[in-house]
Amino acid sequence: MSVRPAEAAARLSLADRARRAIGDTDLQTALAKVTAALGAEGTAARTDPDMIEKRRRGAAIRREVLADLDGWLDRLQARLESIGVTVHRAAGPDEARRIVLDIARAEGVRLAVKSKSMATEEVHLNAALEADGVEVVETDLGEYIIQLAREMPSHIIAPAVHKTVPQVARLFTEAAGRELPSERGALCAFARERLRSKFLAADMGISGANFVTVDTGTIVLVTNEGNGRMCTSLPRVHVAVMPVEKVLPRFEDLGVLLPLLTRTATGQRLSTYVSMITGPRRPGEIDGPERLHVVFLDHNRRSLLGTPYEEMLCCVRCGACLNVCPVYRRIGGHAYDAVYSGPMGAVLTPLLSGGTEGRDLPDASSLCGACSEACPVGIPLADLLVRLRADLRTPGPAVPPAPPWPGHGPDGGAAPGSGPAPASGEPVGVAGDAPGRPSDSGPAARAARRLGFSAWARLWASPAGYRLSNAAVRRLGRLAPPAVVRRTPLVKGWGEGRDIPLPATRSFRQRLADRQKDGW
Amino acid sequence: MATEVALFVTCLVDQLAPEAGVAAVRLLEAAGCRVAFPEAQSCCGQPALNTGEPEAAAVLARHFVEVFEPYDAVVTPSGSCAAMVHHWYSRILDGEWAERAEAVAARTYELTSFLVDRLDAADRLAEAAPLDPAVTVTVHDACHGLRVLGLKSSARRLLEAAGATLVEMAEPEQCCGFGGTFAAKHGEISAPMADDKLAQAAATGADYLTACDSGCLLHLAGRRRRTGQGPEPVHVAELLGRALR
Amino acid sequence: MTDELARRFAEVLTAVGGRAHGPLPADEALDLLVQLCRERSNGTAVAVSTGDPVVQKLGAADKLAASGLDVLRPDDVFWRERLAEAGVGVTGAVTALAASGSVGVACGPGAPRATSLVPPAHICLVFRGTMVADLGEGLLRWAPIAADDTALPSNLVWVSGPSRSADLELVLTVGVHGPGSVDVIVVEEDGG
Repeated sequence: MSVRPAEAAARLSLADRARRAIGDTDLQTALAKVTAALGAEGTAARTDPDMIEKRRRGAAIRREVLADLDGWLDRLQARLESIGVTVHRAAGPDEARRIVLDIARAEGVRLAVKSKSMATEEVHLNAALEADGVEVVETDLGEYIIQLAREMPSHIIAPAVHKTVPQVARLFTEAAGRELPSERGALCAFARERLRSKFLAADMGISGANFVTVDTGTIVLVTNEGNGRMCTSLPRVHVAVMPVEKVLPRFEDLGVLLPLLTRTATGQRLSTYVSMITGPRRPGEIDGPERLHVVFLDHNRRSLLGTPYEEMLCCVRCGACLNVCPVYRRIGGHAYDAVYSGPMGAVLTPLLSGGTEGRDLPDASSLCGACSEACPVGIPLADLLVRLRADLRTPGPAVPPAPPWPGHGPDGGAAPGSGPAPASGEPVGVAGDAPGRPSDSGPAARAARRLGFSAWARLWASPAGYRLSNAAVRRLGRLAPPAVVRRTPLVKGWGEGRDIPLPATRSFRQRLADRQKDGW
Repeated sequence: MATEVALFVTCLVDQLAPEAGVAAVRLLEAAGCRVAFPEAQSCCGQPALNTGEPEAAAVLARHFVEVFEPYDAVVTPSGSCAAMVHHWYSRILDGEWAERAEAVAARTYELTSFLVDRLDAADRLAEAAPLDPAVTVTVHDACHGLRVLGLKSSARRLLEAAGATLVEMAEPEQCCGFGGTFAAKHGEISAPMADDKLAQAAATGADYLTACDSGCLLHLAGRRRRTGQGPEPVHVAELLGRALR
Repeated sequence: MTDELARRFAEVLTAVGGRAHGPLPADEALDLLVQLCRERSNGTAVAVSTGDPVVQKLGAADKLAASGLDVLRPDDVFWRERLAEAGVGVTGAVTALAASGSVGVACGPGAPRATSLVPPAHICLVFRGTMVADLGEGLLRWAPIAADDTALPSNLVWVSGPSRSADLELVLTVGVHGPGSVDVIVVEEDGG
């Protein structure tokens, strides 16, 4: 059973998407493989003494940045501009798209090649460029596959992990216009050849940035395939979209964060290619971009500063939390219906979208804490999920929006929300869930829940209340027909797969009381 | 001189799985404790917190603090409730209440950890409750006890000292899918997670699947009744309690 | 100390699918370079980053040309087009990292980025004396950085073996976009 197109996903609830994923045997096999393989690497990285020290230092460096993020961004901008890089600031996705479109128009771009960048997916950049007549080609093999399939990534490190080789062969056959065998070597050869022609002809390369160092103005890109290098060496223009939390204070901090990222993500001591780009092409050089642009992307990240969610900005996008998450392992990335999935996605999606997407994601967790344990920079992901459950009770964002950058225009502003849905042609499902959680039927339901819990807590904070309410439930449970009991809200969900435990004939308290008279 | 401990039996054990509570009392007494049971106790507040109602959880947290702070030691047969007290009380309460909660948390222990680490009573209990070595047991490391409290060895120590044969499943630390309200809200994910756990337990061939958390065990037992897969889930305290002479 | 580094480097590079050679004295290194280029280029051009300091010091480009190989230099009018047909790219490296089997390839005038990227085979020359233990040490050669210091090249890439992907059912495929063949020749000491 193959994964259905993303159009269908947007209409299904999280529960239905989860059920579908759990029933998809191909997907289950793929998930077991990727989480086992990558999870083992992450676990091994955790116990390596060198890594333990790097984790400590890495966490400290990330928090150092967050303590003065705006200051670091200002210093970075100054440094980048001094080495010939043009800096833009995008408060949100609208602005980010507009900035890149303007650059593309100014440069007469017809073809753009992209290195894997979650940030560009977050702002739905491809659709905007395509609507403007620019051909955009994803060059990371996994991203290329899902671009052809018109799907979202299903794992942050291995975006096409849900695809089998035969499925990829079908996609590539269609793209090639000729029959391609269901064989890895042939499929990679096709991708290499097809994408190479794009690399050599492209006017613009678009990338994200794994890290950017403030003291040197160096953009760091990590890939295994070489597509990142292609995108940033061959076209005459390079645009790097940099989420604001990617900054590091010093060049030498890379010696800590890079191995920490690559070891935790895939077990590699270093990825095959680590590109360190400091400014555009220099006099006397014959390749490299003539013009280099960096777009600082906020998108509600700065609104997290000073809140318990600030720690989420330490994330290095290693995917360790996905690999150990027992829920992710079963439902896979597409069930989250968001650019970022797994525990980090469940936290980031409602926060970055200003509460317009992913409001139901924090509920899809057993709060086991494996994610918090696996995180190489110590983000308490499980705690943040608990907090989100409370902060998403009322409509709107979980935290107030950040003040705009000083001197920054109102366009695209700091308002929460990701703007209008992009033009058609973009894989559906990217626009995200309907606002509010499925269980929210409105202010009345929310108030009822709050009052209900408040009343329950007060009742149970009184010994008599506790005793009487339990006695009542016991009596009702026995009197009410099983059919009614089975439909009661929490009981219903429990009963979906399990036998419902009945209250014991004698509670512990009764047994204790009886013990006085008759012994145990 | 007997150590006095207050038992926090937990709402779940009290109402749905009292045998674990009975066993806890008997084990504590066998280890030389005098067990007090403050009648006013109710719930640690986890269900409210996990549903996103921290204010309601705080009401119950304050109640817990008031009920238990007169005692030198508070012992509970639930790793997740002990974790709630340790990790969340100081975060959902303010000022003086947070301080009082921290003080009580410092004296609140999960049962097996109390018996093994605080009382060093594993061998004493082994004598009082010997287990048949022909009986094999596999241990599920319930998440909150494991990751918040660092519980890993105490249950195994008690069981092995008492003579049980332990068999480890492939992933004892993988979540069973209970997660409190998660089990009810997302049964479609929770049940397959239970299946994974029961399958691993079944693969060990053990007679019993045990843990320090009745929530996990009720969830697994409920699923097992539907699918027939896996050994009988039973609380560590109960396993030992049954063997008490 | 550097013996251990060179040994470790070779071990790790081999493990990630590259080939390590040496340490060799300069003349032997150049002979090996010619041989490898002949094998890997298979009649096509050998692109050489003639502006690279290590390549220059060793006189590698001239040695290759003298051996009858078709050497493509960056100042060639058709460099970009011919590069797409070249079978081998030859560069130097500023340093090598033992822990990850990496070489640090810097670009500059006469040392384009694409030499180690576009041709299907990459051969890299590095002096043994520049080898360090790991990335942390490797980065230190550019620190401390003064505000207007442009000591860092516009593009510095750390290459650890051949290009790879595991995107197809998590099985490793080599040579996806970057070179599928990587040879590193460790040269004993600075050229004469």
